[in-house]
Amino acid sequence: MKSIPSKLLTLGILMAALAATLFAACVQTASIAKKHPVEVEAMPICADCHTDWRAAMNHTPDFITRHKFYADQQRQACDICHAEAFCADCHANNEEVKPSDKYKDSPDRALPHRGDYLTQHQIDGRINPASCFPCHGRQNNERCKECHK
Amino acid sequence: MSHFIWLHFLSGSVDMRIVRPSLSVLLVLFFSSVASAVEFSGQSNSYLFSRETSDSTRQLPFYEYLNFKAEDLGSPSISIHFGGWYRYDFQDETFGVKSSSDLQYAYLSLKRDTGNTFLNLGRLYVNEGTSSEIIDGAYGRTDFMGGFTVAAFGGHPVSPQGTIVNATGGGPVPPGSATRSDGSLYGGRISQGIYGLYRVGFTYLLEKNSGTDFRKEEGLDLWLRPVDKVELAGTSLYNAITSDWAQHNYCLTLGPFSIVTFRTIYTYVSYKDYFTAATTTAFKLDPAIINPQETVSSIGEEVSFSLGKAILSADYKRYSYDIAGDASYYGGRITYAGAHNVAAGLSVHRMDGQTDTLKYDEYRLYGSKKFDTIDIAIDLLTVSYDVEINGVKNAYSASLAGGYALSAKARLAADVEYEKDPFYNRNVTGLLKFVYNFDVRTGAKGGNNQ
Repeated sequence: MKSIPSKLLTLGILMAALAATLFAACVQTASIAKKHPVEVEAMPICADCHTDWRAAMNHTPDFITRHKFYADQQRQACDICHAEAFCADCHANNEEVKPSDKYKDSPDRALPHRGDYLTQHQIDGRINPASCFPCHGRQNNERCKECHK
Repeated sequence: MSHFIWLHFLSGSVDMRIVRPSLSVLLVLFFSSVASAVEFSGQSNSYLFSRETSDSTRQLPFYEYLNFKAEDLGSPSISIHFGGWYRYDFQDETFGVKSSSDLQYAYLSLKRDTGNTFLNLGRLYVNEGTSSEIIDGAYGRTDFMGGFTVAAFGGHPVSPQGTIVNATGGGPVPPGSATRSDGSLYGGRISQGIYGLYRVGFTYLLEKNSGTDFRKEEGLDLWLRPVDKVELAGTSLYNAITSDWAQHNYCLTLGPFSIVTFRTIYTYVSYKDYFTAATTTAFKLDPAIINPQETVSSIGEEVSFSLGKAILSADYKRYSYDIAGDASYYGGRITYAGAHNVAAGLSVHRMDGQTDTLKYDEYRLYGSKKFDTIDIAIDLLTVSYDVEINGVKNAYSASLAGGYALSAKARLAADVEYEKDPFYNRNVTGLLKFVYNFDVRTGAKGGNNQ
């Protein structure tokens, strides 16, 4: 019967072999660019330059409701233009300042919870609580607990 | 202030069991690499708020948000990323405490130039298929031959010490697992596709809490562009503990055909399968709050016309419930984002539901203009309820913001907002903001050190 260290060694060798196999199987095509090759302005219309599938990523006013579909599949595409802090403005673990309060000077950004959201959240929460849950269900709900104890 | 934040984070006032060692590693890596070719960029945002609570107490909190990234740490493939904030109240206490902070993210990133391969270590945001999580742990991804992509992640879920109100499926919370603080979370995604044509992915996530399977989720994600001007994207989330679908979310885009684009969005949510492991009673599975027997589906259509720099659109969304009354939300908007740094928009919408609170009209008008070093913005929002709430029929908010660029890297801004609504007789809030952008290159690349 093999000793425990022998088993660990065997397991380690197998894992290393698996990692080496996986590494060898990795494609050698170039990764997505780290930065967009051309500087773009806020709320870019991608179709101005791209005529393929990237044209669908136009940052039109409704992009905030559908950006998740692109981020779900290929987050690195977002990173070409956006720093992590851009996402963290809204996708937070614990945030005390509404994104719309940080950026009142950018009203064209369709940030959530503009104006008096104290009243409106009761209505939105009734009509579609699933829209609140991803951000406030398991985190970032200290403000919710002021009333929803 | 930046040093103060670092000291505060490292002092242990934030749950840092895993993050502290990670941060130490990041700091060592950072400072040991400064002598070589490092590209350092970041931003400091300082906010001084004047605001009022619902019981008319005036608060004066100061926030410092700091984020930076350092790239080319000895190798172009190594970088570190940091974001966090600190708050101190000069008057009263926000949420009952004089000061607070949060480490938003702090991770070491290793990337290859090929195969979109990366490995991130530290506090990080995972975004894979149906999984969106903030964890203290590891997250890696790579492309394989045959159009396959594999991602894996694992660690400790980052969340406040909230009491869990829903166990999976709405049953009682198991003893010893009242919060997520002792949990572990891991998962992965495998996807396959052909560039520009389609990609389909399968996601798996398991969160354990005190040895109990707390969340077990499986998901499908799809992106399909079979022909030009037709795109279908979406996700389906399956709760493997309740053995039922929790959510479907799909978007079909047709166009643009000349100037017209059609977009259809369909969503479905089953409450008992979706609202699991919540940490606030706002989502408690209870017939009076979140009815576990409820399901809702919605379908929305938006038609938009691109008129040069302006976009005119009309939208309609129908909510259908098993138990509650149905509702429709519809309206239109016109937006302009044009030359001379001008942006403007006007929108009008109507919510038409079966209950009194779901009958209202909503109007918004905004505009912004940037002159050389000065920028101004105005935003007006009003909601007119069919039936009074707290004796009030109309809610208003109006904000005026202005900024001045002190230099290419520094900007000073201020705004004031007036609100009148069913819960505030009148409320005026103010904000003073200072933004500073760091952008430093050192060493071999010979960049500037400004």
